[in-house]
Amino acid sequence: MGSTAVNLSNLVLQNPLIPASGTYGYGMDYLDYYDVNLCGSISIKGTTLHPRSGNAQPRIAETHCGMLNAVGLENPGIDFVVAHKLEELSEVYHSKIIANVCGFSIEEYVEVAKRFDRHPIVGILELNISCPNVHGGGIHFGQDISLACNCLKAVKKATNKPVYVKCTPQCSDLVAMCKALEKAGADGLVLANTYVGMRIDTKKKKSLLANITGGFSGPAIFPLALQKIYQVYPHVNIPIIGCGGVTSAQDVIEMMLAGATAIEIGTANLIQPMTIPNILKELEVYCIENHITLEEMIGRVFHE
Amino acid sequence: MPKQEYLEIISNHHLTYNVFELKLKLGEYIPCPGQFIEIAIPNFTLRRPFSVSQVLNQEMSIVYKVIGEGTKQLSNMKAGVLDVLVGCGNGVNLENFGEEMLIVAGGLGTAIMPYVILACLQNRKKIKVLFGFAKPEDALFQDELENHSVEVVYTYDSEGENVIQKMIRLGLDTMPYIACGPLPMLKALVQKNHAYGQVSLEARMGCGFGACMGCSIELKDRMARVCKEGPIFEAQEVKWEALQ
Repeated sequence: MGSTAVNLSNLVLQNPLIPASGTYGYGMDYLDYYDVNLCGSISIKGTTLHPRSGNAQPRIAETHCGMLNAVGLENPGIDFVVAHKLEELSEVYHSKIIANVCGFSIEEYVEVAKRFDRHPIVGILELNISCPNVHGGGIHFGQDISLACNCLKAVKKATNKPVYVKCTPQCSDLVAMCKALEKAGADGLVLANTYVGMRIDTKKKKSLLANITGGFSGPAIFPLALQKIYQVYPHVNIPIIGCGGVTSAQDVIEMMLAGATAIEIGTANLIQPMTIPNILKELEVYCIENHITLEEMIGRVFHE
Repeated sequence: MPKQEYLEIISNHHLTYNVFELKLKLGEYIPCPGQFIEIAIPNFTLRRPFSVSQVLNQEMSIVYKVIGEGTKQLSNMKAGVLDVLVGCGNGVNLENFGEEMLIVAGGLGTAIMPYVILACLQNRKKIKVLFGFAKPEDALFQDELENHSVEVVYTYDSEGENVIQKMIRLGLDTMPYIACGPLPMLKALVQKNHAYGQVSLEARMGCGFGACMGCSIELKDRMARVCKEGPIFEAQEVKWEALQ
């Protein structure tokens, strides 16, 4: 393994950098900027059983050091994704990807998982029980331990591939949730999805987003996401993928020291499309200058 | 298509009350008429999308209105280098038009037209140009278009006639068109002129290059990203009642 390589449930990634779901489409929109094979893996757009148009406009709002999105899981549906999007991606991307599984019922999650399971490019299933922009699905499952575990158990039965659970940072006891998910069979955790926020349009005197609320992301949430990783790591034995406000190699290293094995990067890609190649270069230099591998850094804040 | 470039500011000055023209030194990539650029503004999270107004003599012009803190800061940047994504979106497709065509634009919607008009002239189109503004003090591009010998009919809401009413009065309401402007203007245009048309639409954007689905709108038969499948759409394919 090279100095930047990491291991997620026996899937070796050449580096820990993974574009986050919802910020990288199905991998094709960044080809104008760089060879996407630079990414350790790719978490593709959240996919549901049936095609979805997503929420009404406006879907995007800016905040200081961040943004709100209320896209609402617009996607062409699992069958189109497997037949076309994954085929297209397979021609340009030569590592395994992370498939973001969404649904509004346990049956739907299971069906999507089953169909993703069949495609060879899928390395890990990312169970999305934390999207805050849909009603009745996503975060609805992620805020109730029993619902979350039942969903996970059903999805685990539908696949032989590792299932990582992408959690909301806004459940009442994240440590209890993560411990329960590990016990229920989770192969890993993604900490964490966005926070719920809103803006108001002062001219129209109503909420700026048509959905009223959106998921808050970007550099402002980095300390919050980092603390979640730090909080959960001592209580589980499964890998954590850190996610939330990462914009630099410094942020990646902090999350790994706190216990993350790999890092999803989302908002930063939208603003600076070259984020991942830039961070990767810095990490490579960091490893050389400090004579270390990134794997040695995982959870090291607890061992010092 | 989009490329990231670092472009030098040549000038950034007032045109009318709160409308500015930013001139950038052209980089390697030459945008097409109808495309837009995404400018990163220091201290603001999201890039701001601006239509390309003109490309001439190794310079790219953006004409923009100061509507918030981001554009206010941009208007104060008189020199230096900007981080820009160039070549966002599709451009106008002049192959779908015959010899005669109409250019209709209102307010800041006129900003995309100098470059579109240049392309029309280069493609030997016979164009009629209608520009509508709220009042005469808001009018833009008079000198520039006169220099290209383009006749423009200006209308002002304050003088009692808007650009769509003018179009009908001049008997141009059956002419194929390219249009850009406020949504009420575009909706009225589509209602009154049933000829083939291409419209430039806008939406709040996240990335500006298709990755985030933030700017999706409803077409009659599918969803489309204003930043990637647009901003130029065929008027006939847009689900106008869904646009607010």
